[in-house]
Amino acid sequence: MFRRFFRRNSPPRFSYQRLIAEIATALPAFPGRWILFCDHPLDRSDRLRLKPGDRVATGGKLVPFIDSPAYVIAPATGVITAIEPFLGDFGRRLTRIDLRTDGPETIDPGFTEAAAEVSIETLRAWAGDLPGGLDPTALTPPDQPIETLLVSAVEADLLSVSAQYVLKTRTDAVRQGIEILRQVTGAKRVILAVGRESFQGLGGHLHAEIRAVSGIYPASAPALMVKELLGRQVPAGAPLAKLGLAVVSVEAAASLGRSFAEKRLALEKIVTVVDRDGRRSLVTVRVGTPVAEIFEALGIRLGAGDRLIAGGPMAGACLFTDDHPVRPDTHCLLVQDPAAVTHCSSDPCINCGECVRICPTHVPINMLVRLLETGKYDIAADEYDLWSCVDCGLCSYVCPARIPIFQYIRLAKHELALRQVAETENV
Amino acid sequence: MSDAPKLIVSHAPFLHGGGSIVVRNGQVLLALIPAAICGMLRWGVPALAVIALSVSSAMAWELIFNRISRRPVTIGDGNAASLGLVLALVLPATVPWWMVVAGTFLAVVIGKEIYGGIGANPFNPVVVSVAILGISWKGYMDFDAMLLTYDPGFVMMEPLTAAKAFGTEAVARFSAFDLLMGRQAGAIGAPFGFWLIVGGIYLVACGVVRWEIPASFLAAVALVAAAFHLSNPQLYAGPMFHLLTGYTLIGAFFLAPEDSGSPVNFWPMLIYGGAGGLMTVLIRNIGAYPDGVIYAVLVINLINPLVDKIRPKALGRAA
Ligand code: SF4
Ligand code: SF4
Repeated sequence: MFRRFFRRNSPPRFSYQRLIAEIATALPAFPGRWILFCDHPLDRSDRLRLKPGDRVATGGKLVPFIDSPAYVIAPATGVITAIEPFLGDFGRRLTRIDLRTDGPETIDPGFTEAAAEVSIETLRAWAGDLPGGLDPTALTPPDQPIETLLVSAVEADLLSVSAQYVLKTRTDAVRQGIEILRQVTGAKRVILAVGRESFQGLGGHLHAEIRAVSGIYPASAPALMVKELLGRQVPAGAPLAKLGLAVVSVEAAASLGRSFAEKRLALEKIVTVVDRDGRRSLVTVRVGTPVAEIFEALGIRLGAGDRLIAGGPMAGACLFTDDHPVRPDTHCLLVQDPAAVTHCSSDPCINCGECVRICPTHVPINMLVRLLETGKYDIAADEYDLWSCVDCGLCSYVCPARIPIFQYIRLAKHELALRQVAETENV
Repeated sequence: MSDAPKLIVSHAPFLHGGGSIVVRNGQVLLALIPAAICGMLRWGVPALAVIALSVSSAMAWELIFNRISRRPVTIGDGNAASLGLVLALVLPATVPWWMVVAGTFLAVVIGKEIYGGIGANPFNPVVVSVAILGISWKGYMDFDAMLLTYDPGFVMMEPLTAAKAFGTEAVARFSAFDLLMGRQAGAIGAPFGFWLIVGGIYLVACGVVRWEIPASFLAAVALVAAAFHLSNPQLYAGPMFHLLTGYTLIGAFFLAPEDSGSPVNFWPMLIYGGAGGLMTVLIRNIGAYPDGVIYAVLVINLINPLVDKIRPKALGRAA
């Protein structure tokens, strides 16, 4: 209690976690069941093309809806056991598909045929679910070609070491992935961004400029990385493509490289798992593996009041159950003890300015938060730089009033995006 | 799955630095304790009574107002207590009890709560209160008149009033060291410069006070006082004198940096503090009042929203 009076309240300087050689790695047993999320709402079951009982082959493309091209990739050979609507963060409506492993593994030939041609069409048709999270549409924006491609090997969040591990253990696949990305985008320049600490020992055979970026969180935020490496500013709220840029995670590049090299879709994903006591392990699992299976393999038991977090401690999202899959962009799973949970308060902003001084993008948060609390999102966006925010969460971390600032910001961005969609549809 | 444990679901970030309003106010209280103890030793039981009454009545007013306005009870955050303590330290030890109660009412209710509570007040609540007290009951805020009964063994003349009335000659008897150690007539805690500096540095180290504000405030006081002194050494006292007398130090470390009325960006903080120091000496040397800190802080609180607009351009913002 007394010690609290003698510690500095702020500001923190978070270094990304470094990959150490002694880290435990694990390969959980091949699961008997799988969960997949398709990014399309299931509102009319009569528009479904798939049904429970259908058989799927490993690497097969499942297109659940008659009227939508949305697809997911089957991680294993088996039978669909259920198709249900699922409500994600901010009320996002998805479709959940459950599979059961059944029979010997057969590989779907679809991608093997498609892989003969390295093109953006192939990527669009097959790579949307690749481990590492790749958005093929961002690679070929309609009005402007990608000039410079950034492949990010900087961790997405604190505690995670997945990206460094991928770079270290799958260097060849990364090189092949970079080649393919270069080919499909036509990018003249490819930069591999690496944390300053892990910069050493990387050879020149990657066919990319290797550049070091700061090892201090949130250097991996795309807009900050572009600023640090290229000295350019992405206009607030605009996609990187506006500047002819795209950022791809190193794991997505590796998955891409491996898929084309082996003519078979990469399914495995590296996930850093951090137990409540801070014990860290790296697991290699297929996308779609239920979290519960991983925890069982690692001997992690969830208790009442724990928090289970997908993604890192700063910008991740809570899961309400371990009956949830590893998704293409799940780089880290984190269990937090109830004792480690700091609750938000209903105190108002005291204008201490801690948030303003920590914000890497100079958002005037002390003003912004007043507008967000009262739902004045338009003014927040127009005058108080809401869209400059890179979603790092540091402002919430330092706020002595414990205002959930970051959540307000995410909510505001979400609401504004919805409004924009509504406006375009009404025109 | 019914046997699954119930997990807590909340939103990112899942870490927190541990800072809180309670801790911050606790740190302010702690920073003021040395000066408060010195005040009690110097002025005796009356000082103790004022401090006790001020802290308790400030908390009482906040509780009453919370109840009347049907809002959550906020005295637990320690802000009322710290306002009460700061107020006590700038009052004379012999001030009548009803004035203390009126002062805390002005600070807590008029200065803070009617704007919506902590963080919403445009002016420093203590400063508002002292300004109104000074206008309403001028006599009771006059240190020379109030401290007549004391004979602590040093010149019992409020230094700023003496300088104003009789010029620098009258204050030549004050050594800087005596002033620093609080051997001067004045408020309960404000004269104990050394301990205020210690407390202030502690608050800066804890991150409660942004160093830019006290530093620029004190620098401006010193510079402007030096300029006056050079122009007319007989009439205007030197920078050391101005730094160590009146409310300068308590103002620089405890009044001007109060969160709600002060800027948060770098240049605005320097402008804000600098303007405060400048106003302080201007009022002292050419204004009507012996001390200028209170009005100076009111003025800079007033310009705060304006100067705090000077801020770095956010990432990716056009022009
Ligand atoms: S506003 Fe908060 S979450 Fe956004 S960039 Fe600034 S500190 Fe990070
Ligand atoms: S939002 Fe929090 S950190 Fe920012 S100024 Fe207000 S109280 Fe301080």
